[in-house]
Amino acid sequence: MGSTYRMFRLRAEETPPLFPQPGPFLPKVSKPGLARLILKEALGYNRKLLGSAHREALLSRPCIYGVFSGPFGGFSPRVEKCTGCMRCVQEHPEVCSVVRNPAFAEQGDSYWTPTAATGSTPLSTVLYEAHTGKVPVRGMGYKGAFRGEGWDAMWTDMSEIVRPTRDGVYGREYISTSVDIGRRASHLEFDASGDLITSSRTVEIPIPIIFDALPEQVSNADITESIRTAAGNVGTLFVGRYVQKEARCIALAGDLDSVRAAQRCAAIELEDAALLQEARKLFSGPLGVRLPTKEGFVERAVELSRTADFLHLCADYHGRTFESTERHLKDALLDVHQRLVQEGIRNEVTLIASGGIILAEHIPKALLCGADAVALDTALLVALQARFLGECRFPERSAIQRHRIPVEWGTRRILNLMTSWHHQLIEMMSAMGVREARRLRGNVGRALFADELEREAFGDIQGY
Amino acid sequence: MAEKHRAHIRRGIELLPQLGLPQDSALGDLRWTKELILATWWQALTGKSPENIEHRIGASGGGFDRLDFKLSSSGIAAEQVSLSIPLNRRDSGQVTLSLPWYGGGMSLGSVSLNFMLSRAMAAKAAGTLTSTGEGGYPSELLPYKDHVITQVATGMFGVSEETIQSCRVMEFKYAQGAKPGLGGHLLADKVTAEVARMRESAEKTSLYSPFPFHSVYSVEDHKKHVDWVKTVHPGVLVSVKVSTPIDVEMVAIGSYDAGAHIIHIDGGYGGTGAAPEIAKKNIAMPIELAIPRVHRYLSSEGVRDKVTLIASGGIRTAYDVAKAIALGADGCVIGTAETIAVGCTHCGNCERGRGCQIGICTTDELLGQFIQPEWGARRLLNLYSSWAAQLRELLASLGLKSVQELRGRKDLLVYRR
Ligand code: SF4
Ligand code: SF4
Repeated sequence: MGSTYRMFRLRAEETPPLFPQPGPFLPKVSKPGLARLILKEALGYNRKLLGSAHREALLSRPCIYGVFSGPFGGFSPRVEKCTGCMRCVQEHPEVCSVVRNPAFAEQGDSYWTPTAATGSTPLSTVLYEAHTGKVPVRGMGYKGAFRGEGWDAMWTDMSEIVRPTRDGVYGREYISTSVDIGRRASHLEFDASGDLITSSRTVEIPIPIIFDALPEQVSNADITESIRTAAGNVGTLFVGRYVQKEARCIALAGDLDSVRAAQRCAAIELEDAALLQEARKLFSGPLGVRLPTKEGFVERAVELSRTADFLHLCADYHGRTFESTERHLKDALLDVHQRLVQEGIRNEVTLIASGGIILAEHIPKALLCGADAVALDTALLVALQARFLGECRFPERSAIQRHRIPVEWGTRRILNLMTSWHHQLIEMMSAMGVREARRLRGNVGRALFADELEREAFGDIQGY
Repeated sequence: MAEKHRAHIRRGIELLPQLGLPQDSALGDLRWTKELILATWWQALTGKSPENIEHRIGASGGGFDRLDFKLSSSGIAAEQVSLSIPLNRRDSGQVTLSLPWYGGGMSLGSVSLNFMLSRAMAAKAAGTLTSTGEGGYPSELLPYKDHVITQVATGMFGVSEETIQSCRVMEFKYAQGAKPGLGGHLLADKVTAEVARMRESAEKTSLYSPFPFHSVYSVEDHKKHVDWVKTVHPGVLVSVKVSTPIDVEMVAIGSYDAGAHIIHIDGGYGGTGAAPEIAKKNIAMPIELAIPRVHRYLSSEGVRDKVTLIASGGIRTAYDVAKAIALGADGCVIGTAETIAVGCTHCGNCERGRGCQIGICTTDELLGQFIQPEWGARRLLNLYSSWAAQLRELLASLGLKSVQELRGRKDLLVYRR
């Protein structure tokens, strides 16, 4: 019990990319223009060249990021250092230009690269986080669209006055990000001698994030091993197949033999809900059901919640449901959560949501919409620099280029990603004035939905 | 050396609006498009609207970028239109601005002293105000004290009886739109001897402004804070700067009850020296959505005419100012538009290494010399006069004689899908 409030910390360690990564900017210098410029400058300073200050001035170049300080200066710019500050263009508009790097915008797929006009994409964000473990911080305001769809159609709340301060920075209250997976007893029972006889079937994880199983086409042995090791280091769980004695594993089981084989696992996730009753006899830990968001999943969720300890609601890798009129995972979650609340059984079951959770902000948003925890999929692949072959949307129909990676490197990249996301989760919770991740669940009062707010603000304006 | 680069940069930002940039140029983003940046440089150079550059809207696809005005022709001449707004609507002692906007808080340390001076000079010449931000009140600003707002924020850096007396408006900063609910953080590199002296701290140590005020946990506490300031400087106007949470209207009425003359709401998409990207994008609502909410609530509580509502956080153009006012604000606070006017490219590198490469957000000695106060002030004034002309023309064509008549006139707006 005492473990709940242990200070949870992850340590980041710089883990540079293994494979080259194109940057967002491409500085270009017109060579004849540059030659003319140098000549002109040299002539202009001709007589004063003796003074060292003037020599320094002559040699000083506009870029403070070292793009032009290679051995050949502007003739062979070090493009990878460019931050897109545009000073070279401001100083020498006739000679320099800086354009958007097409190779940058081609990485990932349509979900990972919505627009590069902001200088960053979800893909570059995750790559940065996996590399450094840091929270991305920039100057100036937000550069993106007013709003978007799905997770981008909501904002999270903040509280002006009453809130906990961020731990670590100001050293005051601790913000807990732990959640439980499994079924909690609705009340406690004691025997005649006063001993507790109720037992909860739950596993506690320090962050509301687990790692989902990746189908073979988008995985390989190195990736699986990196994910497994990282889950252990973080202290969270991974969903996996063919595992026996994995304490940090939620075993994915398609039949009763797999259930038998998974006795030592932290939990079992059944692919077939029909096995629930039989599996219950074989396994005493948290037992859940994987529930793809197909037609009728909301009613199915209500039904299963009476017996399963947890439900794993899956959308596709772009966060859309598998219904014939597909919708976003956020709306699916809101629906399931509200139905469970109506039925009076929300507190008994854990809801895990997965499918296209690819940015730190998606986590508190998913929790506010009703999830207890989320499972990651393609975010892990991107952190490991996996290259998608085409769109990576439907788990069984996607593919990645196969290359080997050192497991130690892979583990550190995922750990870095989690370190960064943990800090970002704390930032957002701190802003909301919420000290416990458990209390985010279904807390829609702290969610700001763009559709509603826009209707309210602009509804009476002609043309809206 | 500073001279050489300064000359080049000036020439460049003068030339670029005319030369134009390639389609795939890296300048700009969806909020501050390449065109908006070039148009701002043009206005800062000439004091006039550009003819062939989009200078009204950006490409964010929502909010201000979808709103437009229903224009008609009226008999009003643009020169007759008044742009002035009063800041005090509740008691005696008036402060009237000649323009419906003033400069937002940018602290010494997050920006260079030279740029601060540019802003103060421009504010004085234009008959408006500028805010110190939370970084102390450098003595160089004293000649402009009638146009200065002293900011009190959670770190209380540089707040003293003296600085409270050297201003017309005291701004209590509870939150900043770009990083609502998070404190400020000045990286150690930017804390030079000068900055440290202003903030009464040590050189080269990171400075945090905690969040929230550790002595304010309720509206009552806030009221006591205000009482202290009013005792020190009885005639001062009180502005309360808050962000835009879901209950922003409750915060506004609470601030009013505690004595505020100005309620300043700062939306999520505003500028900052440095903030986590996740906060800028996701926390609290955009200003366009908050203004009508607060305006409606203050009206229904019967106090709308006793308080000045100021909006900020993503006001880029004179048209944004007009739209914010039509949605229900009395006026606006601007920040990024001013940095753009002196050459900022909205690149977002302000917190990297030596700071801004062209000397705006930096305490680097060499880089800080790129902007000279007089030159900066000239650019800002040019921008202001271009905006003022645009606003007058717009109001005239809407048939309004004063910007005050535009407030809350949503019926004059159209939403373009
Ligand atoms: S845009 Fe900035 S960082 Fe890139 S090459 Fe030019 S001066 Fe250097
Ligand atoms: S670093 Fe870039 S965004 Fe920041 S003030 Fe300078 S030019 Fe503007």
